Amino acid sequence: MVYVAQPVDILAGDAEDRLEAIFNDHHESIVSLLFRLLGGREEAEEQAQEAFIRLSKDRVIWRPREEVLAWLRRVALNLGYNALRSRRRELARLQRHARLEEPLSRSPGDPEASALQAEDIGRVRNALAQLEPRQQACLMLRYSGLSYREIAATIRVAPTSVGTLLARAEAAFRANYKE
Amino acid sequence: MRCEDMGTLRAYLDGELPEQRGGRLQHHLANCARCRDELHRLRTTAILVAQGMAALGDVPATARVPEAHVLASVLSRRGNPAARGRRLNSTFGGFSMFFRKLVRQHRLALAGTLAMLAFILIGLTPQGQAAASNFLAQFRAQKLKVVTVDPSEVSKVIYDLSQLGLVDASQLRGMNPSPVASVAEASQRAGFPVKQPRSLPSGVPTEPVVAVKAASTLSFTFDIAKAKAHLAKIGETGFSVPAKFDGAKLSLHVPSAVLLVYGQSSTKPLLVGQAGAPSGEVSGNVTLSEMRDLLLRMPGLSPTTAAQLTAMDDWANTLPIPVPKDRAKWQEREVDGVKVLVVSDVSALGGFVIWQKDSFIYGIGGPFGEQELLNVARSLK
Repeated sequence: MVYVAQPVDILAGDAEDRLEAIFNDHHESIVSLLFRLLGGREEAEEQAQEAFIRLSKDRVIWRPREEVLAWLRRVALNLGYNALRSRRRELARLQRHARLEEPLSRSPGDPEASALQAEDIGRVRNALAQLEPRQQACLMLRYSGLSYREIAATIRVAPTSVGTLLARAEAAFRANYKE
Repeated sequence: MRCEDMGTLRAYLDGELPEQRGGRLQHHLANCARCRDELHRLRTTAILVAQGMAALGDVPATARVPEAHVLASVLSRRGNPAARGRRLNSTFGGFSMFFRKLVRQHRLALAGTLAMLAFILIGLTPQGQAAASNFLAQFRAQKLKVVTVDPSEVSKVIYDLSQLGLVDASQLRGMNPSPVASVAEASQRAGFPVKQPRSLPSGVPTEPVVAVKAASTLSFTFDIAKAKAHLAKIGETGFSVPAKFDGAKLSLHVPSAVLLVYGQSSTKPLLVGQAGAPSGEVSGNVTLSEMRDLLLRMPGLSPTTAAQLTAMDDWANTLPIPVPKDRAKWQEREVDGVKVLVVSDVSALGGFVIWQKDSFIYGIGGPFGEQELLNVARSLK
């Protein structure tokens, strides 16, 4: 009826519907992914939001869902890495100037358990940080429950090479973790 | 069987090997101590990493920001297109969530119609005016036919089409449905007598909000350079636009339309729309069959949809009504000797009926059952 005459709106409205559907299905998993990387809820949510804003402005939104997700995870991880880098810089600056030491991650709840947990998390994070970015991404994606196919699409490698990449990343992580 | 590499063994641990390959590997493992050791090592490492990664934890559920809030923020930062998409809703305001969904389905269906119109235009058999000079062909909707589509397919085809040339929507600016004071005023503005339902489902307010949409034209002109750049960008190799399509043009004319919304802010709003039949024409340096072939080959168009369109015997006079596959069911009914398409949501939330009579297209939709909608249709005068 009336809408026939509004192709411009139709296109815009459709993009919005599409964005909304993707957001509803995947916002949570993107936040989780970023939380593992960044350790802070607010920061993870902030970067996830930024990733969705970028998606809303990118033509990739018209590609098949699988491709959109790979793109979204890739962008989210890159945003996460950038945030980590600037946080490290900021931390270094603070330490230089004020001799402040701030743990990278804070957990609420029981102080003693939190301290233990924080130490664990610190070790894991250190072990991860020493890996090359692709290995880091591979571990984070795999332990977020993604399939090899999804991992391959996100980090842009052949699905058949995910096994090798993952095995190497795990071996390297183990070596770092044991140090 | 030879020993497998680390990657294959790792994939086997995750159950990521194709079944046959996994079976062969299992057989090999039974006979190869070296691979068993390697697999054991990989498993031990994987468990340790899993424990470590688990320590990173997940977002505390209680602390999550309500997602709707975040989505709203994303949409608001998206800029103009989203704002435009919401315009129609804000025109009437206060739509219930269900109705928004229904309107979306309409919009989707009609977005499809737009794309399909382009297909019909070039699907014309060269007859009558169409056979005249300048390769001109005319289309005029005189009957309706359902085409089941995958909604994402429709979006993609429209999007791709818009990337193959120039969409001239300049005539559409500032031409939203504008509210008018009365049905009489709507008739005057639209240039045809507006029909009103004499019978409404119980509980529906009898005074509608009335809006008129002025007539408009949309045209699309193929631009080969742009098409090539787009197809290269998306890595499409199976589809190309031949050079002679450069400058070929499709025009769609949509006559003025009137929309009546009964109970717009209630939970059960009823939408009644009427408009002249859309028409269109095609011009350029390509033959009709070439144009039709090209559009039916559009990469986003599924073979099923293409087949449905190809099978239409009276292209020049048929308006396909795209119905989302799996989300809606449809059937043909007859109301006072006129064929009516009844399309309903599979979850029985509501639906719409649409028909063509005396060169006008009518549609009635809302969260009502088929009989209720047909009763309204029958009472339209």
